[in-house]
Amino acid sequence: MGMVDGLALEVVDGRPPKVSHILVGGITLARRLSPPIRWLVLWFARRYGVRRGEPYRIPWSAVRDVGVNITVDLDARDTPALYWENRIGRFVRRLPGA
Amino acid sequence: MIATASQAGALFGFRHLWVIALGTLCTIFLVEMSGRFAAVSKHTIRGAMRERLGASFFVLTLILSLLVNFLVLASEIGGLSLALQLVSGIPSRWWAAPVGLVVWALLWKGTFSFLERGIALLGLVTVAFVVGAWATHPPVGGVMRGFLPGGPGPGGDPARYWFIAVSVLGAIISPYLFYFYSSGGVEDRWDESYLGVNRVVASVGMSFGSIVAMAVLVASAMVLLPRGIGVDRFQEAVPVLSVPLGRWGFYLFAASLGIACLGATLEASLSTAYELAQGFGWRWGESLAPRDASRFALSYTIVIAGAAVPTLLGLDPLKLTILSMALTALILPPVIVPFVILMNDERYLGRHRNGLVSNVVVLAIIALAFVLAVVSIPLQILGG
Repeated sequence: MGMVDGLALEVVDGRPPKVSHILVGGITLARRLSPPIRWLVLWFARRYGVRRGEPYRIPWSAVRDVGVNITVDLDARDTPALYWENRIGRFVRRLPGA
Repeated sequence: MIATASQAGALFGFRHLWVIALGTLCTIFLVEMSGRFAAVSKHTIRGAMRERLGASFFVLTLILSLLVNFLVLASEIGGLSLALQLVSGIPSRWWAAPVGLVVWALLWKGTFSFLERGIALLGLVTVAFVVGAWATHPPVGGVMRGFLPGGPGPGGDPARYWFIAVSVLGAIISPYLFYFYSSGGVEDRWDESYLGVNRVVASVGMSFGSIVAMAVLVASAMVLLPRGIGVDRFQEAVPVLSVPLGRWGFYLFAASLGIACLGATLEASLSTAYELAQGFGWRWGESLAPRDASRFALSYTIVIAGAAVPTLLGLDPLKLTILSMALTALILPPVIVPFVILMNDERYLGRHRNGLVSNVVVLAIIALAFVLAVVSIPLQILGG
């Protein structure tokens, strides 16, 4: 499905912060990089991305196992995580022998 | 490798043999670790670098690595085109596009094990260099002395000597090799039962390449050095085989150069795609059909097309090779430092973590890598 690119925390006064979502997608990754790369990726994501610049969030309740690999109770095909894989796939399929 | 080893032999006789031996020793250890990591954790070195060391470090090393991979790929496509020029007489720039297309088609249609076995089998032709070196009757004492660490010898230009030494190490300790190898372990579905096989493959496989490189150096020292041929262009290395082996030697030289370059072209282009896919979490695998790993397949397609351009424009493959080797030396520290972290991580490796010997060796390699990185640019200016 992809890499965990970031985490969203839920902060409620008086309680320890809690992980609420796993973030997947290049936008989250880009936010941690230097400004020119960040701007480029964000511009690209807003213009062409499936979620118009918002990273895909997986609720923590879907997480089943956390180890070196993280297992979530979701079908990757039903999520936007494979949007680019599929979109490029449509182009690749048109090439001979693909 | 053929280029740097023949330059070394042509200019400094046997005096770089110890450098090849040192580089091979380092590579055997690092390749063994890459394979062990893949077999035990089912993760690749590159993917784990992202997971364990964070996004910024990953992106920085990715950019450096892609740049070096691109140069290596461009020079290998150049070398392969030149091998075809030697045989056909048609200038190498006309071969760049067909070569790129064939390499792409092999990756597009081939599976990992098909390519792996094909490269290994065809690679046997490079034994011709060992035969050639033998036929030049090198002095045993002189060759043996070459294995003792030393300098350029009386009257030799030290800057040039050490620049070539750095290039030789850069050619042997290639980052793409480790990424390729650990990805291969995952593609071949290695598990812990493969640890013995891995050790054998790492040591025998790397030693084979090393013996061939040493043979190139010895033959160059025997054939080119006395004739004062300095190998400023690939073509000037042809006598390395054509003098001891005659007409056959000429064809064997072209075949060995072509096949060595073809193997490296396939590995470097796959390695680029592996690095991108594993770092960003794309679906990847050479054995998957392109439509099932579309971003992976598209990335090697673009890289091959781009890397064919320098040859198409008529750039000298030897210059590209030497530049890419020196740059490889420059990026070695960020490539090798993660090994010491990853190979000691219990979550990935459990009880197969590095032992004391492996850790001491990898730290020594890191020290060497830092020295190489610091000296590579000044030496490029002084001795390149």
